[in-house]
Parts: sequence; structure tokens; C-alpha cells
Amino acid sequence: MNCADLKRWLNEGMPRGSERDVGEHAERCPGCAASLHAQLEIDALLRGEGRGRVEAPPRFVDRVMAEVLAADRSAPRIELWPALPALPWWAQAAADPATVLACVLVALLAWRIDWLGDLARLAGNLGSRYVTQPLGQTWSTMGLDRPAVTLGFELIAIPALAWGSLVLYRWTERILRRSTRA
Amino acid sequence: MRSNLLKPGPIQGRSNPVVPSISESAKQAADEASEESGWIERACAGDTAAFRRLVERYGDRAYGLALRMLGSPEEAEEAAQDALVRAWRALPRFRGDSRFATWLYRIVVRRALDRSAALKARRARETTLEETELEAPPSPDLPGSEGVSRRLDQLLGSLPEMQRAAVVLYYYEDRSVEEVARTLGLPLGTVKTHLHRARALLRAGWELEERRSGIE
Repeated sequence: MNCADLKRWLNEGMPRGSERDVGEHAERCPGCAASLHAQLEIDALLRGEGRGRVEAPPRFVDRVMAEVLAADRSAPRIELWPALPALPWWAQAAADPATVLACVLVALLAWRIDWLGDLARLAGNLGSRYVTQPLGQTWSTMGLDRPAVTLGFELIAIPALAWGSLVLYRWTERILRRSTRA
Repeated sequence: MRSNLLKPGPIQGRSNPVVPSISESAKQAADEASEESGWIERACAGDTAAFRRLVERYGDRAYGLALRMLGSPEEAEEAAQDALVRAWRALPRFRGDSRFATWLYRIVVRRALDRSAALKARRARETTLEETELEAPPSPDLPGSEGVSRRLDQLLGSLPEMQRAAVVLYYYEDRSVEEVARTLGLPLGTVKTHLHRARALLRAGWELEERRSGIE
């Protein structure tokens, strides 16, 4: 047994079977002997030696029951998503409504990537109709109707759309988490 | 089956003068479980007196769990009270997939983690740069919290939240690794890793304190 093995053994809760090796190593290594001594003291405390039971403050039960009686259990809660049982983190993450929403959005974009261009063009057209036309001559004088400027608008639309999706993701996540919390 | 892999081994014998026979304690546990399921059933149907019995049985433990996680008696009382009221509201949806205690502890841990996050944010706003070292939650004033016990409580308060929750549930509440995993909603392996790391951090802190006290 070396120092790393001994540390691992201590971290794992000192499973039985290695005590002799540990003892032999600790005799040769003062650092590990100190670690072993520290762990023994900590474990004795964690096992509850010399520790009293924690008691709630006086009248705690009465205060809880007053709250319980005031709480209207029949008040309907908005349940948008069923409570999930204890699942591994990846399963919970996959089942998270926000993840599902994000996957749908990504799949839509991957399937019809041209929609992104259409959307940007639509934004450009709307911008042209409601912003550039009223500006009339000024707009034309400034050269904002040139293809390069339209392309600029399209390029701005992409990060704006990404930011909007992120805001929507966070908002949905917050709303659904709040509704599923016990 | 309860995993004892991480439980500290029998390093030194503990005196245990009155040990009831196995059959007696098993019978007592069965009676308590049956009594408890009756209370749960009645409380589900809206019987507040039955819920009171559950609060009487688990109130101290819920408070103790919150206190060890938050370090402040006032915050712990608020968190435990809030958790118990939420448990009352959610009880009709309790399906009995896990033990009532595990289900209740999950609510207490969530409330304590939420409150801890809010506390941390509040402290971060209030704390000046010079006071950064005071950011760790205060050590709870627990019974027997003197000398070495107090040192352990302080070290426990300095652990990351999930590690602290795992240690409190596993050692102080005597839950199995599987129950801790269910309570915290984490995979078994993650809980074991949290416990391993917590033991390493506690030991490192302990040794540092030992060296400091040796120098002084």
C-alpha cells in the first residue's frame, strides 16, 4: 500500500480487509499516520459520539400546524408537467421541458435551415416597409436599400433570434420548474 | 439492501448497555411503520390531526437537517416549517414509491438549498471584499458542539452544498447511500463521489486545524 492507496481507503469509508496493510504503511509514513488519526477522530464524531439530538424550537409543531390549517390544500395549482420520480441526471435533463423545447427548435432549424434566411429576409422586408419607406428619400440618400445593408440586417437577425430563443428557454424552464416543485 | 461501504467501520467499541432483542426491535419498527402509514392515509384525506402526528415524529429531524445545512437556527426553522407545509399540500400526490421520511427529506433539502442560495446571494451583496472569508455559513449551535465537535461543524459548514447535504443525510440522519441518492435526486455514483470528496475535504481541514493548534 502507498500513500495514494491509503488516502483512497480513507475516502471510501475505510472498508474492511485492508487494516493490516494500512497499519504497516502508517507506521512508516508519519503524514499518513496523521491522516489516519484525523479520520478516526472525524468518524467518531460523525457516528454521533458526544452529540446530542437536535430539537426543534419550542412550539414548532404548533406553528407548523397553524400554517397547515391556514394553507388551502384545495386551491388548484397549475400543473403543467407531472412530478418526475428519482431518475438519473441525464434522464431528468432529457425529460426537462426546456431541453425538449430546445431540441425541437434545433431540429426545426436543422430540417429547414432555409427558414432562417426567410425569417431574416422577412425581418428585412418588414424593416423596409415600416421603417425605410416612411423615411423615403432620406433612406435612399443614405444608401440603406443596398443589398449589402440588407445582408447586414440579416446578419443581425441571427444573433437576435438566438438571444430570443435563450430568453424563451430560460423563461419556460423557470415557469415549469416552479409549477413542478413540491 | 443497505450499503455500508462508506459507513465508518467499528474503529473503537461503543458502550451500548440496553440493546433490545432483534425480534423486539423488529416488532416495534413494524408497529411504527403501520401506525405511520395510517397517519399518512388519513392526512392524505385531509385529517390535520393525523398530519400533526407526522409533524411530531419528523419535525425535529426536519429542523435538524435544515439546521445542519443552513447553519442558522432562524433560517432552519423557516425552511423546515415551509417544507412541512409544502409536504401537507403535496401529500395527496405522495404515491408511496419511497419511504415517507425520504420523500419529506427531499422537500426539506430542496427548501434548504433554495434558502441557502438566496442567503448566499444576499451575503454576496452585503459582504465587502475584506469580509470575503466570512462567506461560509455560520456553524450551527448544536448540542454537544464544543471543542472538536464545533470544529467539525465549522468544517461541515465550509463544504459545498451537495456534499454537505450528502454527509448530513448519510451520517447524521443515518440514511443509506440509495436513500441519499433518492432524496437528493442524484445517481448512486454521484452520491458516493460526494461522500468521498467530503471525507477528503473534512480530513484536510481537520489536519490543517491540528497543525495550526500545534503551532499555537
